[in-house]
Amino acid sequence: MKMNYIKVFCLFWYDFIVGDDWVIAAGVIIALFGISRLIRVGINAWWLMPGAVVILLAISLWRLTHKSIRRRPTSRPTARRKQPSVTPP
Amino acid sequence: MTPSEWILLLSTFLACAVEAVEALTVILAVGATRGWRAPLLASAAASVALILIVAAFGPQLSRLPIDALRIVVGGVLLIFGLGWLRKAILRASGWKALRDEAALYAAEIEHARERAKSADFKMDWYGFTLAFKAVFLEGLEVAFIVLTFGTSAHSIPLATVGAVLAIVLVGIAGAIVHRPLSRVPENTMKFAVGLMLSSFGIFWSVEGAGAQWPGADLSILGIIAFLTLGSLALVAILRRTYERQTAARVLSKAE
Repeated sequence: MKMNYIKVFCLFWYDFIVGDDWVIAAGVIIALFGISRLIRVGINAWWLMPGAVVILLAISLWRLTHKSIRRRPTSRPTARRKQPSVTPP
Repeated sequence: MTPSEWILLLSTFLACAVEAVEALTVILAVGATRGWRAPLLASAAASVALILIVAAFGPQLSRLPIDALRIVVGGVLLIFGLGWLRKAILRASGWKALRDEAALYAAEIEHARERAKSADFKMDWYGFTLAFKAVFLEGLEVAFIVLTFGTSAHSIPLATVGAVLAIVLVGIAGAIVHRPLSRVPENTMKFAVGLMLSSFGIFWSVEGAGAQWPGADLSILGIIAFLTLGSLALVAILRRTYERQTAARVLSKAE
């Protein structure tokens, strides 16, 4: 019973912060880690994040659209996808 | 007032106005897309939290790890913003159906009436969290500005006056522009919100990681421009893919 609450709690926060694509969350964390490492060796790496964000966005969109093509090749790709409960509408 | 006191008042006013505009952008974005109740309550809650923190820490406030806070708030804001942007790009390129805004508006009004009647009104925690984080972080930065400027010029009360003036004026500006904002088409608004949240997220998280932005706060405009161009390019590419897919489906059906 207690485990169930913990699981629900963890799932809520995962869904709330990470949402329906973990790639973006993981990419942002990796990019931030990379920036802090570069700063430690004296490189002012402000340029890294804007570039990383556009690449992450492209990867995430590519994953979503190709998943849709594979799933339902003869109908509108994402029209009936289930929306996560707490991500933006 | 002496010239140095005028300079203190003006510099605190300008610095705090920049921070207040950043918080206001997030409040307006959340309010215009998800309703005003959650962001307004979040702003009030964040203000109370800030007052308590300032009262508890006082001048010791500058020892709080603001960079760690910037990384966390910026990082989470960026992840949220990219979620909005991704869905707006999918809608703009045709991969996700655009919603019937007139029907949705009517349904929303009906739903709001129902919710107002029912006792178990549910808070929009997503909108609340977004607005709370922005107001809290920016409010903390305003407190730092007042403390650092005020302490170095030996007049914290005058620095506080500059900050309060900035917050009040930016608040009035927000109250004026919030109505025209609600007339913007839904997906355009969500696209803009995604861009704003992601841009501020990039700015704060990178600043928190220790990097210096060229042009300081002005670089936010550059980030917004860069992200807008990148997103529009992605819309164009995805639209072409979608049209190709649709044409292929039509052909396969005809055969």
